Amino acid sequence: MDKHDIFARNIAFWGNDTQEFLAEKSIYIAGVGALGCIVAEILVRAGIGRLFLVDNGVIDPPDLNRQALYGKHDIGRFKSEVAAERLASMTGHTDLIVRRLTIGECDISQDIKPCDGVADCLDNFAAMFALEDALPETRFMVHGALHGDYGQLTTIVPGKTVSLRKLYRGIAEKNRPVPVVATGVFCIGSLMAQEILKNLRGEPELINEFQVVGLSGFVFDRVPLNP
Amino acid sequence: MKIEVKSFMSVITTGRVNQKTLTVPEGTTVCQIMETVGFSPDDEILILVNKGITNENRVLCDGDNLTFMPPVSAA
Repeated sequence: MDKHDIFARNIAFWGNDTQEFLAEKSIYIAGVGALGCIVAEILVRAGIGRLFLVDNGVIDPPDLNRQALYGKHDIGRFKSEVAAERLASMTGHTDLIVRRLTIGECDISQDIKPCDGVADCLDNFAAMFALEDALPETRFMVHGALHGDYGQLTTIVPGKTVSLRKLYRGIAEKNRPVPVVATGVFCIGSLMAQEILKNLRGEPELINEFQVVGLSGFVFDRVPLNP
Repeated sequence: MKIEVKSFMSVITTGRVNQKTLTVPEGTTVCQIMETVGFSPDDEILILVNKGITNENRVLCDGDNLTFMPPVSAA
């Protein structure tokens, strides 16, 4: 199918030059769970050229309340593989590279190196720190996280912004399931995708700033940070 | 001295930002403010004073802006 037909509404909004620009870009999606599904789908529909889909997990029943690319018939299958199938059916204009691996247990630097940026959609601090360690100085990483329908996101650039290690130093991992609902996931995932698009165009919104969202009270606020 | 306190911890529980100006004695620490606003010693909290990351032992100065954020990690 012709990409000018598929992306006609995008082009009407941001122009053909931006559409062609996005087709040359690649993003590393670390974690294809709740946030990763939303970020990946938006970037595919935006017309991004290449996505790495990185996750070693399988789909479990408790994932189905919020992980938008999966359904009940996918239980037991690998997330990264099912995500690639669903995303491939959307536009046919994004190269999808599946990596079934656990971040923190493998060397990911060679995959990240050719990417323009990273989406941190991980669910534990240890893996986030390992991902941050692998981020080259010239690349950005958009970090997002949730609790219930509350969420926060920021852009990380090595040497330019505060690091996740500094932010979350000494915070213990939660070894029990955290409450998370789809409203928070879809909202924070959408904002992460928007911030990735802004970073790609050299106009990041959240350098040394947290965007905070609390949906139950319609709270939208910013928290500035010193690097 | 006056300290501006803004807590996003309450957004998770009540949906609202808890924001107030406290008048406290010289030498007050972050830890003392945390007790005043009802946090327990076991609560895990990101603490910022005037945009900088700090800890509960920080001694506050007149006019400081103190922010509490939840360290969320789920995806």
